[in-house]
Formats: sequence, structure tokens, C-alpha cells
Amino acid sequence: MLSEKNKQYILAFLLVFILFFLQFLDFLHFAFLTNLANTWKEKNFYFLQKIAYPFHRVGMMWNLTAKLEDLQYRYNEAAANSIKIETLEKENQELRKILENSDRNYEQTIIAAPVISFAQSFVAAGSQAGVKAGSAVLYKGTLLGLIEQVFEKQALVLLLPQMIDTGILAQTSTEVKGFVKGNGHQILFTEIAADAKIEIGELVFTSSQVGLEKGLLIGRIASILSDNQALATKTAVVEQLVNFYEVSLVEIK
Amino acid sequence: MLICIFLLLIILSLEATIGLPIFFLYLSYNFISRRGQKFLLSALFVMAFVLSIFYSLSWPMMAFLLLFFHLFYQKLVGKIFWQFLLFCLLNLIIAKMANLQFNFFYLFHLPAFLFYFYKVNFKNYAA
Repeated sequence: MLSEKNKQYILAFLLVFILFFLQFLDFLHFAFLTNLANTWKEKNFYFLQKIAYPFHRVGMMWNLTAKLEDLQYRYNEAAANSIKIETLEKENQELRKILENSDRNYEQTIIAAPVISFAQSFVAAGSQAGVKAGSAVLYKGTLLGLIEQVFEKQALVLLLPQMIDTGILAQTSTEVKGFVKGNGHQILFTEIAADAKIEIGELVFTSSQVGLEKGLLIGRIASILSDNQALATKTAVVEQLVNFYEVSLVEIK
Repeated sequence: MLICIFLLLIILSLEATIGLPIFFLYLSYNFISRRGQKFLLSALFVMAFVLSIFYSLSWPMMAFLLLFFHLFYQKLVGKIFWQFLLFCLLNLIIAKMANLQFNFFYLFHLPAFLFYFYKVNFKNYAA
């Protein structure tokens, strides 16, 4: 015969079986009590969160090093991007200056950066970009030189002071005509009629000629060299308002 | 006795908030096991009921688990290590069934229980 203890166990397991059966029939519903318990647990949770907050903060300190490294990395990345943006902004400003207050025509205009290499003046655009020999190199309407030789990706610029063998027809704002050429380090405004009146500070522009636009600014007269009345012509030194070596972008057309 | 039941309910509500019902199970089981066999089995059903309410589990399943736990626990009287292992197993099953996740409070909860367990079962031997 079964002992009293075993009878109790059998009864208990039978009860469990009945409970399983009731659950299977969906008769065991404790939604109200479960909701009540959950509300209680929610209140407990807020209470415990308040108590544990200082410990939680201390625990967070372990992650601070990793966070700091991440921030440092992001800062470096942002700094590099900032430099890029600054360069682009500068370039954009230069482009604006070139485009502002200029009468654009349908001729092809190429914008390129000057490159200085072995004391020679280049621009970072060549035959691939459509640069042709003899094109004018300008900065904000000021003539800096002419393209002398074109390579695939760059072009050699003959600056005005280096135009020893060639020259450009030019005239001042008071219609005094002459010939602009270089002596290696200066720009000279030569072949000026001896009786022509020119003054220091007067602006010199290009005159009508083949292959070069009229009215491009060359510079202003800095000094008059040949004031000898015996000569038929006189020469003036022209000072340019822009330096090729200092600008970041030039226009080729 | 009513105060004890009330305190046990508070412990269960706190433990249900933070994780395992280790204190509730251990204290209530010790509490009812002192009352004798007659009262014990029906008390297990009540324990299973409140656990199922607080952990959103099935009442029959919890009752079944607790009955099995009780059966084996009785067989391991005097073997504290095996009893402790059985108790851990019960808690792990509840944790799995209730889908409990490890949280910050366990750092206090588990060591506190281990300390209590040591104090109740071993300290007297050491003395």
C-alpha cells in the first residue's frame, strides 16, 4: 500500500495535471492580477533606478576612455574636413572674384591653378583641357602673360616681364599708344611718342591686335625711364597690380 | 505568519523587478518546510501561483517545477552543496522561462544571496 506521503504527492501531481488541463481549455486567466503586479514592478523599477543612479554613473566611467578615443578620432576627421572646406571656400571666393563684374562671352574660358616649378611658370591645365598656345592668362581682368607652350596636362606661361623678344600693343587711358614688353624682371611700356603726355599712376591696357582682346588691364605706370628729349620715343616702367606667384587661380582665354 | 507572508510578497515584487526570485524561493521554502508536510504541498501551489503572476509564467508549469524541486530537495537533506546546485538549477529554469536578462542589480543581488546562504548554512559549522 502507498504511504500517506506518497498519496499526497500523487494528489499534488494530479492537481498539477488538472491545472494543465484547465490552462489548455483556457480557463486560467489572471490578467487582472498580472497587470497589478506589473504596475507594482514598474513603481519598484523607478524607485530602484533612483537608488542605483550614482552606481550606474560610476559604471559608465569605464566606457569613458573608449568614448574619448572615439571623440578624438571624430575630431581629427572633422578637422581634416574643415581644412578641405576652407580650401574649397577660398577657391570658391577666387572663382567669384573672377566671375563677378565680368562680361562673359562665348569664347572658351579655362580656370586653372598656377604651378611654379624650377622657376618656370606653369598653369595646371594643358591640351587635354583645351588650352592653346598664345591664349591670354588673366586674373580679374588683368593680363599676366601668354601661354607659350602647351603640354598634355599643363602649359608654360610667358609672363609679361619675360617677353623680351615679343610684345603686346598697349595704350593708356589717355589713348597714348605704345608697345609692352619685358626686360627679364620688369614690364616696359616702350615706343611711346616723345611728345606724348603720360603720367605716373596712369593705367595701361591692351590695344586692338590679333589674338588678344582689347582693354585688358596690364598695370599702371610706375616710372618713366627715357625722358631724353633727343630720343624719338620714351619708355615707362609698368607695375602690375597682381602677382602671378601670389594668386591661387587664373583664367585662360 | 501574516507579517512573514507580507514581507515575502515585498521581496518577490522587488526581485521580480530586478531579476531572479532567489531570496523569495529560498526564504519561503524554508518558511513553509518548517510547517510540516501537510501544509507544505498546498503552500507550494500558492508559491507557484504568486511566481506565475509576478513573472508572467504558467501556473501549472511553475507548480510542476516546484513539486519536482521539492521532491529532489527532500532526497538531498544534509547535502548542502547538491541542494544549492538544485536551487541554482531551479532559478536558471525560471530565468530562462521568464526570459530574464542580466542587469546592473545582479551585482548586488547575487552576492547578497551568496552571503546570506553562507551565513545560514556554514557559519555555524565554522564556529
